Amino acid sequence: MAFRVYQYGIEVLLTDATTGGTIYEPVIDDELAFDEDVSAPSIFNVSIEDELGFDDTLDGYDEVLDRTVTDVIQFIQNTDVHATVRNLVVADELGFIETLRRQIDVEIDDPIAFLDETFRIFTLSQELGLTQSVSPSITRPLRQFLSFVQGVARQVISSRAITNSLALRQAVLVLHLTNGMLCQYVPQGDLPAEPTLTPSDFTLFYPAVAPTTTLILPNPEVGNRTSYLPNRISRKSRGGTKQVFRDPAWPTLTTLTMDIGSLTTTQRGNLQDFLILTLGQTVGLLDYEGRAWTGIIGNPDAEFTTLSDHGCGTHATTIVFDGELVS
Amino acid sequence: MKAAISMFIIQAPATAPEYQSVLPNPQLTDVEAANLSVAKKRSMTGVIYTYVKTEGTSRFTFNFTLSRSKSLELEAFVRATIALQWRVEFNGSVYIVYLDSNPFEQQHLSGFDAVTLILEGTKS
Repeated sequence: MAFRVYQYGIEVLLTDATTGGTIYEPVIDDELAFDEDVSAPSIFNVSIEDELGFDDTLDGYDEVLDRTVTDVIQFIQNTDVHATVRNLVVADELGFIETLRRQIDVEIDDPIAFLDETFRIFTLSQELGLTQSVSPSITRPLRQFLSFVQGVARQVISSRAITNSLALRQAVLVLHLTNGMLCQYVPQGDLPAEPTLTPSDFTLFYPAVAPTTTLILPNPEVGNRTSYLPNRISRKSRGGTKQVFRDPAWPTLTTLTMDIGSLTTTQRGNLQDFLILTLGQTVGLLDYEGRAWTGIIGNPDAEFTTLSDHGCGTHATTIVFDGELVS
Repeated sequence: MKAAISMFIIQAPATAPEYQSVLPNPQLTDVEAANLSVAKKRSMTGVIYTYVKTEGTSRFTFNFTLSRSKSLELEAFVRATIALQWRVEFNGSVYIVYLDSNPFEQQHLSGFDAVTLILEGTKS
């Protein structure tokens, strides 16, 4: 057992090299494990140096006479991928935990320099985690620098379709004050021309195209109604703003409600037969203004009221027709 | 202030009109009602709490008697602008409204049509 050590030296020389080909290597594993401990338990250690350590511990026991403690950990780790085939996974991890801690030190200089670069990747995932801690008990002055540079540079040049349209509309509407303008068909704007109305017999026929059954009925009484029911979205926001939307492609439904009060007994029977024949089928209708409609009779259960049995009889009913205007 | 010539002028869209139709004055039973609502809650101590909702809009009802041709014109106007905001000039006031009648109904009488327009919006 030696109590005085004037020179204490340990040298570790390792050479580790792995050379792979350039075609296809499923797994290349090159690990170099280092575990080096240098302990200097004596009193007078003028100089202790421990270089090259991956798992490196340097303990100077004496708190007074260790004049210089140098613990240098140098890392040079390069993973160069020059292969031209396929490199599915390239992992280059550099873990670093460095602790330099003494109770009484005149100067502590603990720099950590880090440079991590990754080239030629398809999916870039680059993480750099760094924790630096200096915990002196007694020190003057204290300087702690943490320099950090991390950059991800990517250049993308993509040409995509760019549409920038600005629609401006300008409208000028002139109000022509002419005689009869309040009762004639004089719309302004892109509206259809006035339909031609020709008095006609009120006729039901089936089928709507190439009819085989035709039924001529008396014209409806005064007071018949045409209801235009557009499909539209109409609602109010919570603040009360009304919002209305309608797609022109959405269908519209027009309902004709006609009261017929002068049916003979024969016409009544024919109409009842017609309702049974065309139940749920598309029928044609020629109204008393000569306009042709196609649609469905909406009330096949129409009630027929007998008003008189004298002569040919008098009967009344109501027809509800849901359809679209053809011409 | 009364307009010099009192007619019922409807235009659409309200911001940049492309369609316009001029109707005779409505009958004298037009109605205006504010869109206000109040909910009353009475507590067990007899205190009444009210919750009100104000929208700043009103509902307007106009009844027209139109010739058949003018009724057809109004129907064509409605079909073209059913989802647009209307600008209505009538009796010296300007209405910015939507047509609220659903369905839009025409009652065919002897030689004329009876039409009711229910509008909802603001009046200035």
